[in-house]
Amino acid sequence: MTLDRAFRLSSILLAATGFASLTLAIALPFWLLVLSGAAFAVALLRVNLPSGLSGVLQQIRLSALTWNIFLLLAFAGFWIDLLLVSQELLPAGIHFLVLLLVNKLSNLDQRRDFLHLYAISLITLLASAALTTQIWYAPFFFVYLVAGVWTLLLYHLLQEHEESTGHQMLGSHAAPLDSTLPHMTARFFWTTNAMAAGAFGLTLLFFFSIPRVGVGLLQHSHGESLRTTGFSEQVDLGVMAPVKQDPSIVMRVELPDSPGTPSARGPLYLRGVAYNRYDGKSWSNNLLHRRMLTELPQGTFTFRTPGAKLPPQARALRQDILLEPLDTAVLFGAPLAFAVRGDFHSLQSDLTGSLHLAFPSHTRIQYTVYSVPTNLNPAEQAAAALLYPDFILQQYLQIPSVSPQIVDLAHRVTQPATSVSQAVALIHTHLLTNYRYNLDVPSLQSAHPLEDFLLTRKTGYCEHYATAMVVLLRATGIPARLVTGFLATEWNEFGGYYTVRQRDAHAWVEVYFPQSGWITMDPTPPAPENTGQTWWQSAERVTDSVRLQWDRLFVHFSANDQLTVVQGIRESGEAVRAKLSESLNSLSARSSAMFRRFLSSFTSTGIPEIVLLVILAIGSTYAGRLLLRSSRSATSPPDALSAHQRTVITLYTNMLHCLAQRGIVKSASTTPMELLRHVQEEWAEAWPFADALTQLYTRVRFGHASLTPEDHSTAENLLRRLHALERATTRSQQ
Amino acid sequence: MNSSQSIKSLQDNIAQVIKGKPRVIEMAVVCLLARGHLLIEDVPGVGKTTLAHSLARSLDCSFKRIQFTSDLLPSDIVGISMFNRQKQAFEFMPGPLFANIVLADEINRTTPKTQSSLLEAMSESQISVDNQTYPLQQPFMVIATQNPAEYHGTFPLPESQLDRFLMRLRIGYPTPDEEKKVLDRPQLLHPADEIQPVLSAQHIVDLQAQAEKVRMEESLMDYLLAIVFATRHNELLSLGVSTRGALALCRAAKALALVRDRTYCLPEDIKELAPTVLSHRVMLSRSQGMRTNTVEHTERVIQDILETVPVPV
Repeated sequence: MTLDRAFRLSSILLAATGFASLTLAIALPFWLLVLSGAAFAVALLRVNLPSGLSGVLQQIRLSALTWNIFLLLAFAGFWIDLLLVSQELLPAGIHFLVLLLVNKLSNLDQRRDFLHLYAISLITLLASAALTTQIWYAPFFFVYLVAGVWTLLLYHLLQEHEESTGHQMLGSHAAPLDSTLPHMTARFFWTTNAMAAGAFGLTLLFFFSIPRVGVGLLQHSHGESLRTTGFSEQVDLGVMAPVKQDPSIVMRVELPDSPGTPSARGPLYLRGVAYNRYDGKSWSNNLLHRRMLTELPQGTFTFRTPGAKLPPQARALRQDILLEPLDTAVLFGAPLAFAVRGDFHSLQSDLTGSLHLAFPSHTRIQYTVYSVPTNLNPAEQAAAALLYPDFILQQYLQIPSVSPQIVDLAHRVTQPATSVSQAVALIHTHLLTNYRYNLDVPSLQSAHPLEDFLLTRKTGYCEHYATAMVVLLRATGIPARLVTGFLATEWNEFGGYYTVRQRDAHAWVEVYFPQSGWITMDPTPPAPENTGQTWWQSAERVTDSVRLQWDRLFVHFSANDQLTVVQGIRESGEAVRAKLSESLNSLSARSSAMFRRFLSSFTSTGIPEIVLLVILAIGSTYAGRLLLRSSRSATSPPDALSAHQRTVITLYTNMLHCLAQRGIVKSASTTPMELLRHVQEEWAEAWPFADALTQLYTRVRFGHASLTPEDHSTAENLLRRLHALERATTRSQQ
Repeated sequence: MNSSQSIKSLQDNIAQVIKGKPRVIEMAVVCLLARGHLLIEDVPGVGKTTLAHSLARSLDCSFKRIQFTSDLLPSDIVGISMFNRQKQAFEFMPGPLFANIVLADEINRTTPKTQSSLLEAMSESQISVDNQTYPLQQPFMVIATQNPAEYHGTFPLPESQLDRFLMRLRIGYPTPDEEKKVLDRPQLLHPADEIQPVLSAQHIVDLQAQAEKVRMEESLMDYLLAIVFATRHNELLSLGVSTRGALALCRAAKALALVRDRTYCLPEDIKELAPTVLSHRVMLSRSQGMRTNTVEHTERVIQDILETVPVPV
């Protein structure tokens, strides 16, 4: 491919990349897409068509006046768009930009047209960057960078060529491509790509090291919030069944302070809302009084009053949660949360300990929850009766008018129990063993869903189990409440986090013990899992973790993160240094010990060691000599060469290649002048060029003469003519 | 007259006498400029002495010729202390070695004892007699001629003596045309006597200093050393080139660069000179079936070695 064609193609690619990223970032009107697509097609055709057809294309070109009118119309259209249609600067500006792009693509004549095209494509890329935070932007950015490097290099090369040959290349559309133009080589291609990759690396470095402004400068709230169920003030029994099939992701949870596989840790309960009242069909919460959480510095909210001691960090479970936009203001976290850190204005908590934002968030939010799991106090485990506070008795013993059979059932189950905790355990086991998990429960409209579940059908899902347990507990006088939230079971081993989906929505029970507090209990047997991991699922997990990293590293990368990175680098540097010095110390200690042991054995026994030592010495001397011989006999590459010398060596090697193509090969022991004589005998017409080049080469290479720019250009000219001569002779021979 | 012109005129002057041997003349001049001593080895009657003679005559400096015979004694060359009756003291009578150019004709016809008396003069440019050291004037050059070793009545030169000659030249028979020109010449006068000196002694010393300053690029030194190293590890050779030999090749290459009007050495300088400069410093091993250290054999071995050593690019 000639330089000129490569240049035009890469220019169009550059513009196309910018345009494509724009179309993905913002929905463009259909007619604009068609128009610009046509413009790209025409521009591509102009480059690729044989000369005969391009003449035809030349004929149907629009005149300059037409284009001027088009631009004026476009400008007028921009104002109409801005004031009447879109009524926003950004979309209107982008529409106008695309029209400008169309204009430039159709009129790539002068050098400045190309420059304008680059400017427009840069703006399109910037605009799409401002409009999106999605991961697909990264490949577009990279392609743009590569195409940009290509284009700029080719532009520069063409310009150089024009200046040296003195005739205009870019200005003439119909002019046949200059045959003297050098061709694109694979080497050029890969060198350019390597440069682009280098530039990309540099960009990443800048990205991570330079402070930035906040994200979403022009960002709209894109997409809709996920619709959730089970976290409103009132929840009907059976409402969760539809979402149990929904695979959309609700949040991702990392447990940074407790590494390890989830199998060792068990499932993670993410508590949302608790309910205290059941009316036979639905759960509700009448403890709605919310209070503001105390804010500590650094955006940490805590339930405690200032000055109160926080639980020791070691016992606390830290969860880093990335929550997708939901239609509820509830924040989730493992029980029992005592502090939350996040970029919130305020945070509220109701009397059941659930967390609420002031409003549902429309963007993805990231926050950290610190929780301390509650365990049953050993003293209370054996207690036959417990003394509950009045507030608890008032709120958490309420039972709707259920059938007496349920009360009977409760008493029957708990009859053998000698303590409160044993009664709880008996009910728990009863539900786990005697009922079957089944999502397919038709009776959403059932008048008595609980009776259906407990007495007749005996199949149901989490809500039924949890409701049944709460009612049975309350029937035996034990305070309990229903909790909804998510049960995280899907561990992403590639990213090291839990993926929580809509279908992980869950309901469970909290039982009150006066001294221990609310204890989490789950009467639902585990759902029949579809075991066996397909490659597709793990691939999905990989992409999900990549998406999470993209969000973390690029979209939400903040000054705080920069600080963390710097600290991490410093700490790891310190660690490496410490480890190095330690290992060096141990190495020297070990070697000195070995040496001492060797010496002592040497003095004690003698002969074999001496023989060994002699053999070793002889062997190493011999090996050394061999090494020396091989290294000396091979000519060492000339080091410490000046730039001039290197240049002239390159030129000379180039000449050798050309001669070799003609069958005149320089053997290693041939000197330059011998080669020259050979050329004179074999290929007399090339001799003048070879002679001049060799003279220059020897003068600079061995005489340390400096290589003037004139010399350089003369030499390149000679080389070019030599190559031309070579091609001409080869062709005539063929 | 600049250096290239003077060197050219010197070569032209000799070429008036020695017909059709420009390479031999060039080598002789190189040897002179490299402060070396020249050994010309060939069959009798091809112009060995004439070459030495004409080189000496072309320079405006003192020239002595010593005919080496089997009964020649060291004192015949270096000189002798005689008792002066008037002064009542010994007086040194300088021998023929006290000259700028000394032609040691048929050097291998004399005994090793006399041959060795040349050693100090050749390597240190001084002569010690009776605890007295006499420096020689510059330039000082010994041009020795010898018949090939296998000829009758010869004492082969010892290796130490050979090593002190910068190069060993062969002249070879002239082409028929050139030989005809020689015959066609007036026979009355020896042709070497007809030519006039073109360079002074001081001029030669200047040129020698200039040759010293010729640049040899580092990679070329590596190339040179690689050649020397190869001679030391070649199985055809029982004795490789000494460090003095490497130094000689370096000096000769610089002088050749000057003769060819360059201020820097090229790989060809080294490659071209190597057979001439190195061949008399090596010995063929006896196991290879070449029992004689003939010039042809050793030069061929050196030539083969040169084809194995890569030239720096």
